[in-house]
Formats: sequence, structure tokens, C-alpha cells
Amino acid sequence: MAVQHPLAWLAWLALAFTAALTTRNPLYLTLVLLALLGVYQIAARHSMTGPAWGAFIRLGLTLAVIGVVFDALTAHIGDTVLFSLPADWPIIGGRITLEAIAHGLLGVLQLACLLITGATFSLRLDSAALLRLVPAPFYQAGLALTIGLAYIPQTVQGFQEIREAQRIRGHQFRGPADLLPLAGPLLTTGLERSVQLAESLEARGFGYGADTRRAAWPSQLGLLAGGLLLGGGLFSLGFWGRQSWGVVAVVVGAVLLGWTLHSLAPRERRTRYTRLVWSRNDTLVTTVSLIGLGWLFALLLAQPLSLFYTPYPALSLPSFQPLVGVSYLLLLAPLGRLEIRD
Amino acid sequence: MLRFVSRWTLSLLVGLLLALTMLPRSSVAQTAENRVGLVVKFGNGAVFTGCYAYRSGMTGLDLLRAAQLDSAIEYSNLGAFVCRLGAPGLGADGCNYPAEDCLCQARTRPWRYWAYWRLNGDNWAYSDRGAAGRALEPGAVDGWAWGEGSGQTGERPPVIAFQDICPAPTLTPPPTSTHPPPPLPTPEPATPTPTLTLVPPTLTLTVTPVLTPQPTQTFTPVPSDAPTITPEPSATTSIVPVDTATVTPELNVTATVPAGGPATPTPVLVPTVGTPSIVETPTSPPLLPSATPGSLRTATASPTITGPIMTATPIAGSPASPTISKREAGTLTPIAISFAGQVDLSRLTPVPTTRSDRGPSSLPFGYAIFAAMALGLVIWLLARQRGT
Repeated sequence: MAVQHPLAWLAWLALAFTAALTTRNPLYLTLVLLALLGVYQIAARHSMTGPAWGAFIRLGLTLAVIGVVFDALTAHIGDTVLFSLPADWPIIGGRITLEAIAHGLLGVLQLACLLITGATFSLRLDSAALLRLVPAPFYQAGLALTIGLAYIPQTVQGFQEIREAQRIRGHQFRGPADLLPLAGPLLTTGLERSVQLAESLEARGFGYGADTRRAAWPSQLGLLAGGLLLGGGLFSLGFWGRQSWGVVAVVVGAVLLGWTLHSLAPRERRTRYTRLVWSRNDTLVTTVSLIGLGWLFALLLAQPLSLFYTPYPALSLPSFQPLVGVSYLLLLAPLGRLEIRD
Repeated sequence: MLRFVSRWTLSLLVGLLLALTMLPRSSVAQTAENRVGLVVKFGNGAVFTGCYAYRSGMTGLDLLRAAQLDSAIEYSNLGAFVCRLGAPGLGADGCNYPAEDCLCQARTRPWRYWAYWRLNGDNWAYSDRGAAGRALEPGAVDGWAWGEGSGQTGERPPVIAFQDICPAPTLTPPPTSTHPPPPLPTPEPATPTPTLTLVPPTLTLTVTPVLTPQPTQTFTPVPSDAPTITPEPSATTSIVPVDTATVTPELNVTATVPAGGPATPTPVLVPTVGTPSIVETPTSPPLLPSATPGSLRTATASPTITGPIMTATPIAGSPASPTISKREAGTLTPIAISFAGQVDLSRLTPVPTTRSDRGPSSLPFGYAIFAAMALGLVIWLLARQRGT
């Protein structure tokens, strides 16, 4: 039996993101990456969009590597100077250090973990099941987000298909200028797909509530006013410190938003054809993920320096605590007896 | 055609870049001055100044690091942000990054941070660049000041001219000895030499530890992750003239813990007194050739910071400056602890030092574990890849 319930995958997603974002220690990030690769490897194996997500990850990492070059040229900090550019050169003038390159590479490592996590989550998660968990007032926003996420692998897949078709026609790709014959068809197919999707949503009555007799302006006004009060109050608290009127604005805005959303909820009547099944595997994955999350947060609170690492000002050996390293293996929870099978 | 144009464009760009390197740069008037000055003003008004050797390509950050102040700096690809600066006897201001947010006192108004200035003639100019991006010139003076600011201006350090920070070096004659010649030893009767018990002066150290929630620590190779008592105390006295002496150093350490603050354990690294050493140094030649030259024996007690880490938690409402003091007499274990003020004794728990866990001694074991885990994962991944 596979891990199916979206809540279980959400818990795993939270653990993976937390593990990747709370440390820049290369040893820990390496373990996180290897564990995520293990889960991704199995997730992509049985999915039609697996190759597309793989191409997306490679594209993201390529851009990140370019970012490393940018980091090295703009961050003139570090004790290990590789070479120096004239100081009067704008932006890039100054010392080029090994520490800046290391900092950029750590960013690539983090980004790789995030991309693989997102790809794994998208590959294994049933979008329809996830939408069913979205609260009623946010259903349409959740649907729009799901459609947007689904377009990423579809676009990559379309790019690959168009490239193969152009190659069959004798088109050779030798440089950036040769990508123009790809961009046109890619844009065209993307627009066509969007129009088809919009027509199908329209045919299914997307965006129409069951009760259309009630005016929409009170709820719209409530959302707008609540959002402005909440946002303005938070901004004032951050900018001017704890002021009484800022706290009042936050509280009033939150209450107004909550009341408006609550009043909108009964409008969205959704039917369910099948019931989401919660299996023992889902329980195990969720439990392991929550344990891992709790452990990481406890570590951050009790020993905030244990996960800290910076290559600046001079490269130094990162620390490694075996117990912390083993905890990252909790990311392998969806595997083993819980191996994903279609 | 497009390819031809792009090649020409690329060639043109390369040529422009090369031409830029050959442009004559505005040269700084070369002076014989090869030093730079630093002025740091703390929140309590104390001012630190320093004069340092200039080297080519030196930045404001290099100058600050050359001062070897107790600092916490957050580095990023945007530059370096000075979170905290401290100097022995002058004070320390800022946030204890990375244990704290670097801008812990600048997230809400009023913003308190270390403002960065450069001396421009007789005035300070608020630097529009970070310290890492500011290239210094010989004779430059940088200033740092802790206080309230707005992002466009902040607390100013006092204007101190470069000549006052880095005075011109002058030749000074070697110091002459001011020690009077030792008295001529007088013959003593043949009686056993009494053993003297020497008590060096009591050293009182006032420490304001940084309140950070670090009740226990697993030390990682990060320097200065626990507040230590500086300067390291030492006491020296003379024993003239005896053959044997027993030196019993007594060290009083007082740590001031701010009252009413957060009820978090405050670790204070308390030095213990090492075994005092007796060093014999010859004195100056005697005045009379026939006199027997005497010897000056110096007993030096230099505590080393290897003691247990004591923690103390102030009680809310306790006096303005409750203190803990630790008195130690020649041993490596505390024998008495006395308190002034309302400090909860039951919450004073000695934490065994974990200094032995830090540093390279634990790295090989950890790295071995990491290598085993990583290698295992890689082999497992490859095996699954081949199995598909």
C-alpha cells in the first residue's frame, strides 16, 4: 500500500523544507539531498511527468550555477583571495574570494534540495485530493495554484516535444539564436492549452456559487478592509514598533477577514465522489515527519548554533553531530515498507 | 547574418573591456603615510582608537578586523553587517549573532545599530557603502558608533584627527632601569628558613556577560561562543630573598548579572587558578665587586581559563546588580561560593565544561560517521538506479 493521503505528503514536505532551509552546513545539506534524491528517484520512476520534472530541476540548477558566478563577482568578502579585479570597476571590482564561491555553492545545494522536494511532492501528490483539503473559501485560489503548478512540467514536456520535432525537420541547435524556432511554438501551445482549460472550467461552472442572489460587494469590502487593516497593522508594528493602534489594526483586520471568510464558506458546496483513505503508512509517514520537525525546532531553540555554518570570513571545517545527521534520514520515511507503487 | 552580427558584438564588448583596463586611473597622491586609523564609540560613551598598517586593497572591514575587537559580523553576499563590537574595559554593544538576530535592536523603532562613518576632513561622513565595499586609502580614518539611527544617519563618533590616532613615530631611548640595586645580603644564622605564605593581591574582575540562552552548549569550532573573563588576571609578586616559598594565590571573581532581565541562565566562564610557578631571574650586578650577587625570585600566578562553567539566574525584582563571586585558593575546584544580592542558589548549577568536545578532537569521529552515511546513501541510490 502506498502513501496516498495528501496530509501525509504535506507533513513530509514541511520536514523537507525545514531541513533544507534551516542550515547551510554542507554536510547536513548533502545528507538531505541524498535522502531527497532517494525519494525522488522512486517517485519519478512511476510517473509520466517524471522526465519533465527532471529537466526542470536541471534547468533550475543551471541557473543557480550562474548565480554562483554572480556571487563570486559581487561579494568581495573572504580571506582566501583567488584574484582581484580593479577596484574601480563597478560592482565586480574587488577581490574574488574562495569563500564567496563556497557561499554560492551552498546556495546551489540548498536550491537543489528545494527543487527536488517540490518535484517529488508534485509527482506523488494527487492534485484533486489536495484540493479537497483546501478550505471552502480558498477553493478557487487553490485550484488556480494547482493549475499553475501543473503547467510547469507540461511546459517542459512541450519544450522537449517541440525540440524533437524541430530536429526531425533538420533544425540544428548551435546557440542561443537557434532557440527562436522553439519559443514561438512553445508560446503558442501554452496559450492554446490555457484557452482549452478555461473553456472546460467554464463548462463546469467554475467560479459560480450556489447562491448568486446575495450581493458580492459586502464580502469583497470585508476582504479588502480586513486585508488592509491586517497588512497595515503588521507593517506599522514592524516599522514603528509595538504601538497600540498597530495592535488594534491587526486584531480588527484579522477578525474582519475571518468573519468574511466564514460567511463565504457556505456558498461553496462541493460534492465528493470518493473518500480519502487514511492508511497505516500515512500514519507512519506523518508521525515520522512530525517527529523530525519537532526535533529540528527543538534543536534550533536549544542549540541554535548547531546547524549554523558560514564560509565567511575564512573557510573552516563544518561541524557534524551524528545524531543530527541521522535525524535527516527521517526524510526517507516514504520508502522501505512504504515504497511507493502505483 | 545574425551569427555574424553576434560575433562582432562579442568582439566589440571584449575590446571595450580591455580598453577599460588600460584607462589611466585617478591616482591617489602618494604619501609616505602607510597607516589607517579607527575610531569606535560605544554606547556608554567610551571610545576606542587604533592605528594600523595599511596594505593595498584594504577595506573598512579589514581595518575593523585588524583591531581584533570582540565582534560578531553577519556575512552575506550583500556584504558584511556588524552586529556587535566590544572591547575589554570599554564595553560591548550589539547583538550576539548568530545566537541572536543580527538586527535584534534594529527591527523596530528606534533602530540601534553600528553606524559606519568615514572621516572627511574635520567631519564625519556617513558611509554610503558597507565596510566590505569601502576601499581604504593610506591616511584614512574609519569610525563606528553605536546608537540610534535612521539608515541615512546615526550616532557619530568623536572627531579625532588622523595625526592624533597615528602620531608620527619618534625615536625613544631605551628605558633605563629604575630598580634600585638590591640590598647586600647579610649573613644569617644557621636556622631553618621559614616558609612564607604569600597571598597575591585580590583581583576583582567585573564582567557583564551577554544574556544568551545557552544553558548547555555543544561546542562547534566557532571562536568566542562563550563569554570569558577578560583580561586574564595575573598576579606577580617578589620573594626576596628566600630559598623556598609557598605561594597561595587567591582569586576573587565577580560576575555582574543584570537584574530584572530575562530569566535565562547566564553562562559565565570562570577561570581557575593554575599551579603558580616560581621563576628565578638574576638581578643587576652588585655595587661592590666583593658582594655575593643575590637573586630575585618572582612568583607568578597566571590563571588559565579551564574552570567549570557556572550559570546563575537572576530573580525578578532582585537588586540592580546582583553578583556571584567565586573564591578559589590554589585548587582547581571551587571551595566556596559567596553571593551578594538575591540570587537563587538552587539554580546555580555547575555545568561541566565541554571544551574537550570542541575542536579537532571530535571532528574525525563525526566526519567518519558522515562519510559512512553519505557513502551508504550513494551506494543505495546507484543500486536502485541500476535496478530500474
